[in-house]
Amino acid sequence: MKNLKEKLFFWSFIMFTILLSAQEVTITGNVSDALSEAPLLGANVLIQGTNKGTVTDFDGGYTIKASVGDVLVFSYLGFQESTITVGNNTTINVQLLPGNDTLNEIVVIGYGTSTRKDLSGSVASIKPETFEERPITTIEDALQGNATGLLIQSSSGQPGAAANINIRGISSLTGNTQPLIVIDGFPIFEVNTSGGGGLEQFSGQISAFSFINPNDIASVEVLKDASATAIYGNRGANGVILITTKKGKIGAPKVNYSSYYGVRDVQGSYDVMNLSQYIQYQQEQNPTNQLYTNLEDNTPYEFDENMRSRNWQDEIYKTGIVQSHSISVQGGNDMTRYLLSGSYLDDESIIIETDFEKYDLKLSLDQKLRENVKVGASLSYNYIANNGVPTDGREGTAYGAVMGAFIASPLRLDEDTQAYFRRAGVQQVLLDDFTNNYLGDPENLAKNTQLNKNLSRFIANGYLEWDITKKLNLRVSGGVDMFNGKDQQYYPKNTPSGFLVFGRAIVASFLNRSWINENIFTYKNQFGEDHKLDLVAGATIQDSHFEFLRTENVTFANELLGYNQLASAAEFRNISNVTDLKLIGFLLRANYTFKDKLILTVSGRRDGTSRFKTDKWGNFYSGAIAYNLAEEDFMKKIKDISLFKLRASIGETGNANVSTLGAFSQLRNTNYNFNDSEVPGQSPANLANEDLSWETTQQINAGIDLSLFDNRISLTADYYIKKTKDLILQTPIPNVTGFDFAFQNIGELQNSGIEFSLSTINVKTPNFEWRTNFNITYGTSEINDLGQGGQPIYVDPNFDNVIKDEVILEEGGEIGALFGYIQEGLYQPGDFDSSGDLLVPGRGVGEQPGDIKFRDVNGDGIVNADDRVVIGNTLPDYYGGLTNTFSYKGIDLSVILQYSIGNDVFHATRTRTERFIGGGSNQSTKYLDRWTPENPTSTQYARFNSLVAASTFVEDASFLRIRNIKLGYNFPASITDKLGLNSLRCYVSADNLKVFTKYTGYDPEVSTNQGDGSRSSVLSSGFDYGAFPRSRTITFGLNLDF
Amino acid sequence: MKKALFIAVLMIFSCDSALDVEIKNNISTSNFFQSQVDFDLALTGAYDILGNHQDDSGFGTYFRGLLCMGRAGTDEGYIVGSFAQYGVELSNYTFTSVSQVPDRVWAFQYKGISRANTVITRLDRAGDIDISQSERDRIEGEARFLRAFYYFQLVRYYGGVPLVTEEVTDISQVNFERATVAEVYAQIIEDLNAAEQLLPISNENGRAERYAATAFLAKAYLQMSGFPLQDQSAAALAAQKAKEVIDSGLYALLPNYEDVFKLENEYASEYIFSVQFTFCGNCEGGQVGTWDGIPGNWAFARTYNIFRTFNEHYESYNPNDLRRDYNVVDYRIIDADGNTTPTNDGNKYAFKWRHAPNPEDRPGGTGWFEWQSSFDFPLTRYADILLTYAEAINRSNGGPNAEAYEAINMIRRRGFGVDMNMPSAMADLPNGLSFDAFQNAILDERKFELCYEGHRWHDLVRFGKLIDAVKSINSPESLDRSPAANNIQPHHVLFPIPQSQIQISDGVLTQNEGY
Repeated sequence: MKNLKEKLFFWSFIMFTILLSAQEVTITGNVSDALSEAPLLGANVLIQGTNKGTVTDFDGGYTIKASVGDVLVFSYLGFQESTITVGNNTTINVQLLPGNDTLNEIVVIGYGTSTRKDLSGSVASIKPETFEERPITTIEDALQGNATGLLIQSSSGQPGAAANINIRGISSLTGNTQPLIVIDGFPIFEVNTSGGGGLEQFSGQISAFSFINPNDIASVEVLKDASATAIYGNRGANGVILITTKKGKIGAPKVNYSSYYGVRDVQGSYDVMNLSQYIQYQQEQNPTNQLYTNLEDNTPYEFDENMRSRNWQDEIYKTGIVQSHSISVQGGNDMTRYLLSGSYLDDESIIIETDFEKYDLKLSLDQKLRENVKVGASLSYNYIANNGVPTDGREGTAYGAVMGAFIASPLRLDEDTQAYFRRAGVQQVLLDDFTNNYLGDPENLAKNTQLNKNLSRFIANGYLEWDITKKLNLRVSGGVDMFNGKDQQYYPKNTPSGFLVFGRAIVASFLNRSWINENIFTYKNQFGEDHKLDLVAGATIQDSHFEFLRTENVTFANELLGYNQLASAAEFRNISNVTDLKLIGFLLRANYTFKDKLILTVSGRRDGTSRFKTDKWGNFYSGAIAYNLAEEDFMKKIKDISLFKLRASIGETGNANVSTLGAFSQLRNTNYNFNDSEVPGQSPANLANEDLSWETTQQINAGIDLSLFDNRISLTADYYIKKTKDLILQTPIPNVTGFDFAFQNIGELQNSGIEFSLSTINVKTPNFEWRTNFNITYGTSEINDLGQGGQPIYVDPNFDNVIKDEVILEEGGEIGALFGYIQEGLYQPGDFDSSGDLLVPGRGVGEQPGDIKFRDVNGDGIVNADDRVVIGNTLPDYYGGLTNTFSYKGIDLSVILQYSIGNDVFHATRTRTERFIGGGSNQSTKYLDRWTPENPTSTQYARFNSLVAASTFVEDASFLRIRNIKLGYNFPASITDKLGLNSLRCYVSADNLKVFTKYTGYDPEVSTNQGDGSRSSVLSSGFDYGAFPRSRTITFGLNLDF
Repeated sequence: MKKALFIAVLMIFSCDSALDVEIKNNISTSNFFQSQVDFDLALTGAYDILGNHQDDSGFGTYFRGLLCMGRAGTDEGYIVGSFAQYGVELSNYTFTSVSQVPDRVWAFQYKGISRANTVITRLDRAGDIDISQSERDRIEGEARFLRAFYYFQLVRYYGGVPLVTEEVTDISQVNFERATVAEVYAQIIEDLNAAEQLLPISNENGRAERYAATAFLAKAYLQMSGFPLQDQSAAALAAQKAKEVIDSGLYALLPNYEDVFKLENEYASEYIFSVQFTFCGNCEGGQVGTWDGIPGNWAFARTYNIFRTFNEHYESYNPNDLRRDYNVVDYRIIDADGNTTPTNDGNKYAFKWRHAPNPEDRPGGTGWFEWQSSFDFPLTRYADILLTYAEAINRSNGGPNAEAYEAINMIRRRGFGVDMNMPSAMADLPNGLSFDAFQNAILDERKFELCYEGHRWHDLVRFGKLIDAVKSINSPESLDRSPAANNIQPHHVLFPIPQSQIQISDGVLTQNEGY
């Protein structure tokens, strides 16, 4: 009450003063960060030449009396000063440009904020400028190479495709190694975007990030060490990515429109044989193919050399158009702030019949109820309509369009081509047979297969903030996340997978409904000059409910309506599924600062999950200390050092991400046929481990932050050791139990690494500025223990059914290790005796001269499964990025490079295209240079008779990518004023301009979806099996404010 | 206000049940086994292992793996092609203890055993559930039959294996030590004897019925009487059990050999127990016939011809034996009427189960190929039992008798296309054969009659002739000269215990000699 009286008095006084002095005007406005647009709290507003002034409030707002003609000086630590002369306008909003001082930038941390200077943990921030104005459909693409310790491996170039995101290595061997993603304080669950089945199963999942409009993002923070992540308890072990979205700012309504329009095209090609080469290949290697060889007398037909060849890659790729339009309106006053934004994105991509459309709508409202009570809400709705083409595919005839473009016969039997065949002597009946049965044409597949997804996500958050006292604050927040998806697929009879079953339709719908409630107390106090204490305590409860319904229908009498008329199907099978998850956590954090030079942070969390049966609760903690040497008296003399902070932290986080099959005994459908009809059955699905509990990751971090020469040079380096024990591992168990695997808490693995980032302002003059950001991460992993007597665990990426165990997890080994035989040259005629038998036994698969010779690694005289070893690793040794930005007056130029060194890709496409053993598939042109008795010096194998995982297919996929080059121009005020605009900017941008790599596929950054429903099979990433190629995109963009 | 919040927080904290969530994606085992329906569902799961293709792509079942193991690596056929390396290595005797098919066959037999154990254990423990005695007997009988069948597979392929006869809910309760071959057979006989008592005489098509148990008793005893147990006393029991099947009058040879493999006859009197495959859009079809078969034209013969037969096999038939040109062919089909043209490629193709050349005539029409084949895979049929009878008599008597002659001659007469029940100079075996000569005649006859049906490898092992038979295949005219003849070793009469299992058991499980 006293407060209120005081305020009344204060306001009356001001009013009185205004009345008295007529010449003076009262100016109001707000001060914000020009880049992040965040309000600046505590900025100084001073009338030049006087000592009259004020400071901005929590929302950046200020009120000052001044006379017309006075000059107002706005200043804020870390920002460039701004001066404005008072005119007739009584509202003056100021945006301050950040200065060199990045030390006082707000950094969002779990359940609170801090500044770069006061941070004791390891947190990387990514500013929107790094991804704004780029033609990206998910921001994973944008984060690549922008933060140390953050490894993002895209799966493919498909619009919206999910990527593997790993923070500081892979700290878990369960299916899920993705970090926790928190949007505006709301931890979101990964959602399923695929109904599975058919070929869709092998095309990419849509990323959880694709539901976020990049234009709505104010900042992205990557929490890396235990000090930063322990507050997230048993969900923090894989690191945390915090995304903060924009909020409205005080001031007159401001409208922003931004748009870009671009063209995409495919980069590179894969060389396969043309028709005449293919015919020769068929005649040599597949003499039973009646189209090319006369089986009456086994003589090859002679074809006209001018017969038209078809390169299917030309048929399925196109120049795609991408366009985006975003509009936002925002404004507010001391009591209310709002932001409303909407956007539309259309990405036609580079493969025919592909279209990805996205609609976003977002509303953010903040309202002051009383001086000490604030409420707010943020609502966002996103809708994605994705029409796709199956790309990746699988064994047999069920391959996708990209694979099809490589291996389909390079011809279309149109009337002209048929005439060539007839002239050569081929009977019409054989041509008819080919046309009737030839379904592998990838263009046909792309045009006729329908893969349509409609996904929508609605996220609503509300909060109430109550300053109980000046020092104690309570924030109560709640939210709902509603995800609805529909996946519709139709494979008609004239495509291979529909042909099998007379047309197949799959319709799946999924619903993910989750809610959260969090109640957080924050206490901030300062004791004397030197001691500051921040306390956070609270409770959080989150509940998730997942529903899945899928129907698969085959044998369509009439296909006209495809999946829209399931009643046309003669047979169908329905699956429904419901999963619930409940999480409860209690959290506590204390942060103590002494004289700005010593920072101590401790945090703890008690967390429970419904996924465990007997051991539901776990405790997690962290402790951190930071010491800023620059604040010591003896260092203060050295003006060039503004920050010299040493940091150390230790802590434990957990991972409880396991399906209910871990701890709860269940049954599953196991059907059989009696009397020629299918009869349902139920069999034990798992050998439940009732004592299963979370896995624990211990992390030690040591780091240094250094800022030199008026912050012209900032450097951060971290060293970490991350040890995960009690892994939730689906380990092999003796299968006399009837089960091959059971979930156990077993084993230990360790990730360690060094991260280094450097930001410099190389040149800074009033007109010209050049900044450089460089970062590099070196990471390594070791599997210390897998239990089970040290037996390795093999992972089958399962892109086919032929070769197995391409990935190995073994004690002492690294994560991401590829496994197989080592190619050691080719068999030469001298390796065989007169009867054609090998002098030194081989694998016993009918070896011939020109076949691949594998190394007898253990030297026991025979080459067998025991000779398989690690032949590569899909994870890089080093990775990072280099960004240079230049600005000259209104012109700016940025160049973003991204690199990855030491990662391998298993180029699985070649298991289909480089066999040379006959069969109808077209093959690589390498066939033409193969070893033959006439070409005995060739190192190209003549055939890969018996397919196995081998070093032959493992390629160094290190790369340097010109990620983005952008040239922008900000029109000067003289022009914008005439147009009635606040600002106008246009730019040209080239995304993914060029990749420098030795990798022979389309793109070294690749991970074919494994089709097991899990979007993050990181253990089997780095396989390229006809993946959707990544495009180069040139865009033109426009940004305007009015 | 603050107080209220803290109380609310504490309430959540103290209430652990707040974290209890009902499992809804699957049936919880704790809510199951409450009724006859539940037990029947679980029993169906135990059958599922025979032909399952969804788990591990059928590498451990008759969908894929057992179309290689037991058929390839003999003198009746071999596997070619890059597509089926896992089969080629079985065919060529280049497999190792990490090879896929032996690994999965082991795993799947134990999966079957585990599912049967669950039914038996839970039925034993089931208190007052609503189930009649006859249904209870049937369910237990089928489960025990299946458990015996899976152990019979294991003991023949791997020798003595760990015996698990209870539902496993805790890994620590399992004894991984290998039992002896005799102990495993004792378990098989015990289960089959029980099944014989419990099972009804007639059961739904596809399920085990009483004489299926009797037939497998005969087969198990017969196998015991040969290598490796050489249990002389078992031969008489085999003869007795085979006789019981014959005397039941429930089974008979179809008059025409070719008709046996027609789809419409899969439940005919010839069949005793088969793996069930059915074509439909989503259910479990098989690859019987599609793995074998002739090369294109694809439209008229949808087969992979991955499993092929040897020229030697063809030559070993009597030219008057109609089974020769039915089982072994060297042509391709060129039209929907089934007209043929020679392949001229020097290969011989196994063509026992034949898709109708006209797609219109196939069940499911043109969609019927690959894994959508409806052919069942016979595990035993009446001809097998007749030959079992003849062999058992020869083994127990030290020579054939009239009944033994009659049993084998009936089969030969049908094969030669003459009246089964009338003596035939052309078809009948010569009289007065010695024990050894009769044994050889039976072994050959089993190949002529039962080739490609998964018996050959076991037969050769039982007779101690596997290695000789494989070595005999070195045909110069065969395009795919079998490397098996050079590779086969004495230890190949057993498959390796999967190396993964030896490692997991920490050495408790021991490897078969030679691997």
